[in-house]
This record gives sequence, C-alpha cells and structure tokens, in this order.
Amino acid sequence: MHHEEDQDILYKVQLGTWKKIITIVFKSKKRIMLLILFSGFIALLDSAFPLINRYAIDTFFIGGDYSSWPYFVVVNILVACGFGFGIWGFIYQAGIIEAEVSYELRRQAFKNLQKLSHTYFDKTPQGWIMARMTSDARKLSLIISWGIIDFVWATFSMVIILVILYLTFFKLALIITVALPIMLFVAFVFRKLILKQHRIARRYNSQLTAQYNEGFLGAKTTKSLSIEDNNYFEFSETAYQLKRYSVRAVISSALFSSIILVIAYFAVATTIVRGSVFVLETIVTIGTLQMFIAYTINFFEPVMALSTIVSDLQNAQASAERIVSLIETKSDLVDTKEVEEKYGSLFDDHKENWEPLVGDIEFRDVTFYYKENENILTNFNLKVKAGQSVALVGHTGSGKTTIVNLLSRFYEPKSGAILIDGKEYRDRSIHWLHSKLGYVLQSPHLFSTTVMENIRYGRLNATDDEVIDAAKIVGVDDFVKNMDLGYQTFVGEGGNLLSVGQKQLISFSRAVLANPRILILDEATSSIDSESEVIIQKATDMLLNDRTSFIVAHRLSTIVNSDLIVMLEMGEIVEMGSHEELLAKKGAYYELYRNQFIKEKAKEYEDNL
Amino acid sequence: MRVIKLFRLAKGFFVLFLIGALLTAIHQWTYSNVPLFTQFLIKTLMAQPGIAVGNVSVGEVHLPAFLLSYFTKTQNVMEIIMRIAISLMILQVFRFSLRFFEMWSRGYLQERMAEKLRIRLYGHIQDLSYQFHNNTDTGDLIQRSTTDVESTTGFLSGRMLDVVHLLATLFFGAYQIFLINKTMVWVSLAIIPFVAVSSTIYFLKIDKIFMNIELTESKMMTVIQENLSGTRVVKAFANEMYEIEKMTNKNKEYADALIKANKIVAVYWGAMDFIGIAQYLVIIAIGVYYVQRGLMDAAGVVASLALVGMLIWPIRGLGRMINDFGKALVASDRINEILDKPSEYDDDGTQTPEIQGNIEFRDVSFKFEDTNEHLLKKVNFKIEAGQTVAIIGRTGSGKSTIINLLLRMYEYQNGDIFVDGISLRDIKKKHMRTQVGVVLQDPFLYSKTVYENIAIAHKNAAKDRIYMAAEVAALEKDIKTFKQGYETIVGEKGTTLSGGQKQRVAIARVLVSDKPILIFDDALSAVDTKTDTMIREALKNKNYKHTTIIITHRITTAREADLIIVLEQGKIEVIGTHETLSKTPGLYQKLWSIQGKLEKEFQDLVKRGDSDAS
Repeated sequence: MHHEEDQDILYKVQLGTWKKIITIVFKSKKRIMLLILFSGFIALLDSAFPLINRYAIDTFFIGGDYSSWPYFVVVNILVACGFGFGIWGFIYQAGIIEAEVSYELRRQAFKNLQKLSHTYFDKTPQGWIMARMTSDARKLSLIISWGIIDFVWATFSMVIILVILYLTFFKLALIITVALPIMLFVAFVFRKLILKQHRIARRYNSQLTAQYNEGFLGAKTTKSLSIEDNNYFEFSETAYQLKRYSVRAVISSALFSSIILVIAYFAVATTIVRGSVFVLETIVTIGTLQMFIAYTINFFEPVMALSTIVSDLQNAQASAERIVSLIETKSDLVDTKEVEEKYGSLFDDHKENWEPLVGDIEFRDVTFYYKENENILTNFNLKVKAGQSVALVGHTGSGKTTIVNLLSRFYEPKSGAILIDGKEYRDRSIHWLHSKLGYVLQSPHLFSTTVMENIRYGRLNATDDEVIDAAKIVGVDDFVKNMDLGYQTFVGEGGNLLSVGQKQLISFSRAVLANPRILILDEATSSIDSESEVIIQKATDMLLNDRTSFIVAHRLSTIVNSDLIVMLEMGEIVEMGSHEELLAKKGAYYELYRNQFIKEKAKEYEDNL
Repeated sequence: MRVIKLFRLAKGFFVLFLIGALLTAIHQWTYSNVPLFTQFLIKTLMAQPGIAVGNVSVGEVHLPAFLLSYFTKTQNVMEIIMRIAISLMILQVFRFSLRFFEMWSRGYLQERMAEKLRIRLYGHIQDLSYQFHNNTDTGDLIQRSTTDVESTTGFLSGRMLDVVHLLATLFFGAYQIFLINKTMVWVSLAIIPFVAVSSTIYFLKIDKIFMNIELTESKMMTVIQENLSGTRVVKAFANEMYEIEKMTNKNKEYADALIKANKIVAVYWGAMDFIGIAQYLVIIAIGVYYVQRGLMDAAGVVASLALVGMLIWPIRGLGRMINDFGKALVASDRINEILDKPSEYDDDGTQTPEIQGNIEFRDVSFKFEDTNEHLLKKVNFKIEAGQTVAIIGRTGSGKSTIINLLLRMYEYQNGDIFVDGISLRDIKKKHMRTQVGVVLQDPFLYSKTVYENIAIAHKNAAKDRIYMAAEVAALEKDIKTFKQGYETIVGEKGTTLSGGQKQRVAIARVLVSDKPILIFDDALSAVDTKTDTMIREALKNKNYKHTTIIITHRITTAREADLIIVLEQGKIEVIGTHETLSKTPGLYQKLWSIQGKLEKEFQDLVKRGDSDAS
C-alpha cells in the first residue's frame, strides 16, 4: 500500500537520482546536441519575425521603397522553410531521445532485476515493478526530452529578445525588464498551487477507481446486505471531491494565465505610450514601435514554458527516484570476490573452472529466518546421499518450502552451512548451482510462446529432437501429438490454453531436458482428475529417477514412493525414515497419512457417487 | 442514432454549455478587436508630420464607433495615444476576465458532466441484476466507467467548446480582415480546406499508428510480467541472460514503434508550421500590392498580419476534434450498452411486511433465460418460523439457486414462493434482503477496517453488538493477532485474510442485527469443525426466534438440523430428519456411511502395510 501513496509526497530535489538519470540521458548526447541546436534555431527564427515585420513596415509600407522586395521574399521563404525544418527537426530528435531514454531506463532496470534475490521479490509487489517499468519510464523520458526543448527554447527566446531590444533601444527595453521578474514570480507561485491541486485530484481519482473496483467485485455481497445506498453515497462523495479539486486546478490555471497576460499587456500599454513619444520625436520608427509591441506580447510564452518545466520536473522527481531505485538496488545475495574470480558472474561465466556436481547434500546446523526473532529453522541438520529422493511433509509453515528455497540458494542460511558434495555451497557461484539444478513448480509457470519453446526453456541450446525426446519421457508427446500445430502450438498467456495437468507435464519435461543433478519438486496441492493423476504420477517417477531430489510433497503416492520421508513441524524434524518405518511408529506421520488418505479417498468416492 | 445517444449523455448541461459557448464567442470577438488598436495607433502616428512620406492613411479602422469618437475627441496626439493605451488596457482586462470565466465554465462543465455520469454509472451498475454481475468482467466495467467516461465527457464538453471556439475565431478573424481588405480574406480562406483535410487525414492515420505502439508495448509488458511471476523458474534454470535478451528485443521493438510514429508527427507539424509562416508572407505580398497602389495603408497591413493568425493556427486542431468524435462515439456506445440494461428494481414488489420466517416454495421452477436446462424443477417445501434447515446435495444440484431465489436475486418463472404467506413477488426486494442475513460462499470484504466491515449494514450499531458478533463468529482471537486490532484495514488494499477469516467476518456481519432469517451458503465449511459447532451453538442461543438455513457438505452439521432437504439435479429427492433419512436408502444415507467406511478401509491398509513390513 505504501508503494501507492509515495507519489503524493512533495519531493525535494535529490542530486544522486538526477545524476544517474543524466548519465542515462547522456547516452544520447549527440542527439541532445542536435536537439539543443534545433530548439535554439527555432527560438532564433521566432524572434526574427518582429524584426522582419519591422523591415517591411518601415521600408515598404511607410518608406515606399520597394527595391529590396525580391530579397525580402527570398529571405521570407527561407525563414518559412527554416521554420518547417526546425519544427520537424526538434520533434524528430525529441521523439528519438524519448524512445532511447525510456529504452535505456527499462533495459538497465530489467537487467538489475535479474540479479536480485527472492528477498526483493517477496516484499515488492509485481504490479509496483510493472508500473515503474512502464508508466514511470514513459513519464520520465517524455518530460526529459520535451523538457529540454522547452527549456532551451524558452531561455534562448528570452535572451535573444532582450538582446535585440537592448541593442535597438534600451530605454524601451527597460519596460520588459521590469515586467519579467514579476511574471516569473507569479508563475512560480501559481505553479506550486496548481501542482498541489492536481495531486489531490489524482489521489481522489485513484480512490474513485478503487471504489469502482470494489463496487463491482462486491456487487453480489452488496446486494445481499442491501447496502447499495450507502455505497452510492460514499462513491458520490469521492466523485464530488474529484470534481471539486479538478475544477479548482482549472480555476487556478485560468487565473494564473490571465494574470500573466494582464501583466504582459500592461507592459504593452506602457510600451505604446512611451514608444509613441519616441516615434513622435522621430527617435524610433513606427516599425520599431510595432516590433517592441510584438516582442512584449510574445514574451509571456517562454515564461509560461519555463514555469511548466519546473513543475513537470517536480512531478517527475518521484518517477525518477523509483526507477533509479529499481536500477540501483543491490542484491542481498551475491558471490564473494574469490568465487566470482574463479567461477565467473551471471553475465560472464568461466565454465572451464566448473566442477561437476554429484549430488550429496548436507544441511549442517542451519538456522534461518525471514524476520528476525522468528526462526523458521533452528540448527537444522539433514544428510542426503546422491540419488536419493526426499519427501518433505508437514503442515503449512512447517519449513518445507524454506528448506528447498535454501537448497536452491534463493536464500542463504543465517548461520550454519549447506554442503554440496562435501563443499560449502557459497564457495561456488550461484550460477554454477542454478545451472545444475532443476526446479519444478507447484503451479507451473509457462511463457506465452509455443510448447516447443516452453520445454526448451530447460536447456536453451537443446535441439528440437532433444526437446521432443524429453517430452516423450514424461508423456507430453501423447497430448501434443493430437494438437493441430503439434509442438508449435501457442500455449496462451501463462499457458491458459492448456489444462492444469498439461501445464504440469510441460514443466516436468522442461526439467527432464535440463537433466539436473539436483531436482526440486514443489508438488501441487490442487486436485486434478484421477486420470491425469495417474499420468502425473508416472511422470514424477521418471523425473525423480537417478538424481538427488527434494519434494515438497502433497500426494500420497509421491510420499510413499520416496526413499526418505522427512516429517517437519515448526522447522524441526519430528520423524524421518521410509514409509513403512514411519507407519509402524504410529506417530505424527501415521496421523497425517490417515487424514490424507481419507481426504483423497473421500474425494474419489464423491467423484464416483 | 448513435450520435443522438452520444449527445443525450450531455442532457441537463445545455445551459452550462451555452454559457461556455457564449463566453468563448465573446472572447474571440474581443480578441479580434485587439489588432485594431495598433492599427489606429499607427494611423495616428503616421498622420503626424515628418513620420511618413505622403498622404498615407487609407480606409477606416473598424473599432466600435464610441471608441473612435472617444479617441478623436481631442486634438492632442499624446492625449489620443494615452486614450488608445488606456482603452486597450481596459479591453484586455475585460478579455482576460472573460477568458478566466470561459476556462472556469469549461472546466466545470467537463468535470461536472464526468461526475454526474460516473455516479450514474456506479448507481446503475450496482442495481443491475445478480446474473449480470456473475457474467461480467470487472476490468471491463471499470474501463467503461473511467476511460470511456473521460473520452465521452471530454468530447461533449471540451471538444464541443473547441468547435465553438474554432468557428468563432474563424468567423471574427475573417470578418475583421474582410473589413480591411477583401482579397486577403479570400486568399487566406482558400488554404483552409487544404489544412483541414490534411489535419483530418493525419489524426486518423496517427491513431492507427498509436495502436501499433500499444501492441508492441503490451508485448513487452508480457515479457516483463512473465519474467517477474516466473523468477523462480528463470533463476532455477539459470536463464537470466536469455531473459535479458528477450526483453531487449521487445524493448527495442517498442522503442522503434515510438520512433516510427514520431517521424510522421514531426513531418506533419513541420509542414503545418511552414504553411502557417508562408501565409504571413502572402499577406505581406498582398499588402505590398495594395499599398503600392494606394488602396491600403501600413496600419491595415499590420492589423491583417495579426489577424491572419486567427485563421490558420486553429484549423490544425480540426483533425483532433474529428478523431475525438470517433473515439467518443465508440466510448459512448460502450457506456450506453450498460445504461440500457434494465435495473433489477424496475420489477419490484411494494410490500414491506414484518417477517416472521415462515417460508414456502410451491412448485418453483427456475432456469436462466438463455438456457434450456432447468436448475430447479417443481420444488416444494415448507419451513416454519424458528426451524433450522439443512440443504445438502452435490455441486450443481441447485442448493445456491434456492437461496438466490429466496433473496430474489433471480426471478423464478413458475410456481411461487411465500414468506409468511405473502408472495415474494409482492415484497420489496431491498426489504426482503434486509430481513435475511446471508453469508455467501465467497464473501466479499470492503477496503475498510475490520470493525467497519462487521458494522457495514448497521453503521450505528452499538459497539458492544459488534464485539459480540465478532465473538460469536469466533473472530476475537484472529483480531487480537492483527497489529491494529479492529482498526486493521482489510480487503483489496489492506491485510489479506484467510478464507476462513473472511467467512467469519461475513458471519459476524449478519449477526450484528437480529434477522428473522439467517442463511449460510456453504459458509461454515471454510471454518473447522469445532468453530462450526461453536457458531451454530451460539446461534441457537440467540434469544429471538429465527429461521436458519444451512447449505453444507458436512453430514455432521446437517444431522443436527430440524429438517434436512436433499437436492438431486434440481429436484427434491427427500425431506426429513436425520433419524428418518439415515434409514432410507439414498444420497443422504450414502454420504453418512462413507465416513465410517473410510475409517475401516484405512485400518485395513495399515494392517496390510504392517504385515508387508514384517
């Protein structure tokens, strides 16, 4: 929840954040130079107009001298072309910069995400990360690229206008010099106010969406409780507040620009009066007077633009901070320098130094907690020989998943050691372990691509034949054969075009293809029909064959068939042994088995009733 | 028709729109007068000796007559100029006040229209039938209530006022130039159709290209999203590099799509600005032609130069209006589709009797309109006030349908239901629902505190009642484990409760007040057997008469009911007590016997295992 609210805090400018952003933006520095050139060019042409008009007025219309007319036309056509070219150029460049900056922000953030450990993903909602990668990246790159244009254009315009005015006739230029700071002051005061009102309105807007969501999701409950009127009232209140603050923001904007314009025209009126005196004294021409009037009118635009940039940047500050945090978060789980030197890193591994993995595993005095003082495991010990299959059983929260998470090095022990083939596993790289580990998930995770590519995910360099062989071993081939497109069948988003059983089998074949020495199987609790159950059971047997395996087990048949059953309770082993040994004890395992047995059977009965 | 329906959504805002339109029009008229002040100023200055060569004043200045006479009342040049400056200043202050009110009324119109439509939609959707909510995707409804509302009201208010603005600007701009020089108007207007057409083509085309951007973006988002939800798989197979590559490709495609679209944007605006600027040159050229022949003066040209901007720049936005019109039409279709659906209260009873709790189903049949299969077939039963009744049956046998009919969530086609002898059709739906406390299978908790959730239907209930209800529902212990106790926020945006906890909050919710009819739609199965018994015990001890209907899978729960109704494929198989039903062959007996049978089977298995082991 706090992730949603932080956008409403008014941020102080943080240099570190912007430094990082600037290094990213600077990757497009050639384009930025071009962009600045184009913006400056447009500012220059913009400011040239009153000059051109002055010439036309003084020379042609008042002076009656048309000898330079052909040149004038040529210059004008050139200016028009230049203008078209300049506008095209800065939109073109800004668009590319915008795309490149957002590309780079996403690239770096995504790359960093791949390095982060599960601790990060556990506490960071997926939606939050998605929003940073999309809307924040978009917003930031937009403000940066178009902000550069506005900023360069506005400052250039102001400077050029002032220079021209002072060079032409400094006594008249003083008027605008006085008006400028007043306009800027008003602009910044109002911008702050408007920004604040927009933020409040936005907060009501997201509250409104939440209420819609709740109203629709809970419609049935609402009806049954007959609290429609109450909900309607609450919703109306939010809608009213949203309107109130939106209108307020509009009013502030309207008041703001109107005041700025009044100031600008006050300067214009003063220019008219003072300028006319100078005209009458023939110190300046009518064309010059007209030019001063035009410049004074034009002057408010860069002022508005500058104030917009400032408030945009304030708005972007929050986005920038969140993205930079995504790029710069360090993983709390990294290899030591020595290990990295020998085994290489995630992006550059030294495979030649990798030892083979046999599969002996030992947990030695392992203690672990997610939250301090809430130990999940305390001095946990377990020894498994290569090739054994171990079923971890116990209630939710007994520590089953923690054990496999530690073994997979998704987390590391807080104290104690985990030894693989007799060697502390932190003395080898994470990448080394992961390359030799297979993990089959409770709820299989499929990518929205073909069956073939989903299986190949287990070993990316596998040939099509190897993929199909793996598919045959666990029985994927049996149902893929009947699909029109066979292995090229698209599985849909998250694999939702397939049944749960099919998804599980594909996830199995992925592990078979990877052929890991250590396999972790997080068994599904969800029930499937008995026919699929048999197929899955057969596939499980194939999968566990000839490797060290840890199973977070829920199905009786899996438990019964494993070499070692470890019965856990509150992170401690209460019973351990083979199925027969444990049943004979008539202890905790016996009870668990009994309950599970009755549950599974009862379901079978109900199905056949 | 579609267009009429679109504009009908703006009903009630005509006056406000008219005010906005009027302000816009007046504003544009005052605006078109501003250049005339400069025109008059220049004329005045040029008339002074030594400023210009020859007799140069040609034509009139078309400012309002009272202004002209005010200017010319004095002979002193400085006095005239002062008067010009002061009246220009007054005009501008007037214009910017107009502008201020114009923007205000425009903002108010837009926001108020959106507010009204949002509330209307919310209320209407809430009142749509139970069935509608069963079959509708929430995401889609939200889309309609937010984005579609914004595009519709945005068009009906802002964009429609833009049309007024465009027309007023064009009209007054053209009119003022016309008064100065006719040729200039015709030449300027000649270019308008060209700009209008290319603007329209551009906006329609760019829209399609933006759709391509959205497509590539959503593809990229899929890759990110799948990577995030599959971190375990990615890491376990050490495929991080591959993921980065995959993302880089999609990221690049998205960036390329953006750049491609932007190229068109750049060309369009570049070309438009070229045309706009070229227009000035044309005006100057015409000016030169006429001034040379003594048919126009410098002041006129200067004023025309300022006025011609009113003709060209606004036209460039025409395409956007047309484009938004198309979008608003689609959006309003989607909104009207919802608004056209009848509210479930269109067909409602009128009576609000005090309810005792006698319920009778007489030959009740029910099916959904779009299917042929009856979910209930000629169901008959009678429940007396104060009885506890259990309904059992397999999934799909029609248990929940009975409850939904009793609450009038669905309309039954045949037969009738009587509550205390009154046909359910005659009773006001909301009244009936307030008299029945129902805990649904999958109850919904609102994003409020635990306390507010329990008190939701009785905001003013005494605190004690709330605590009592929580206690009876066996919630106390859970609430104590929450950091903020009763003040813990739950629901979508708050703490996630377990299925059992949710059920118990929902149970507490109906226990707050003394309802004559209580219904538990499979709600007690999510709590363990002990809590189940406790809750039912507490219910029995409530010291007022109430009818209780419990839908359950647990035979042990059903056993204690005064009456057990066994449903089979929409028909009543049998009605009776545990005593009678456990002796009659049928579903109830089968279920009852499974409990014992399983226990035996297990013992056999263990024995077999023992002998195998030895």
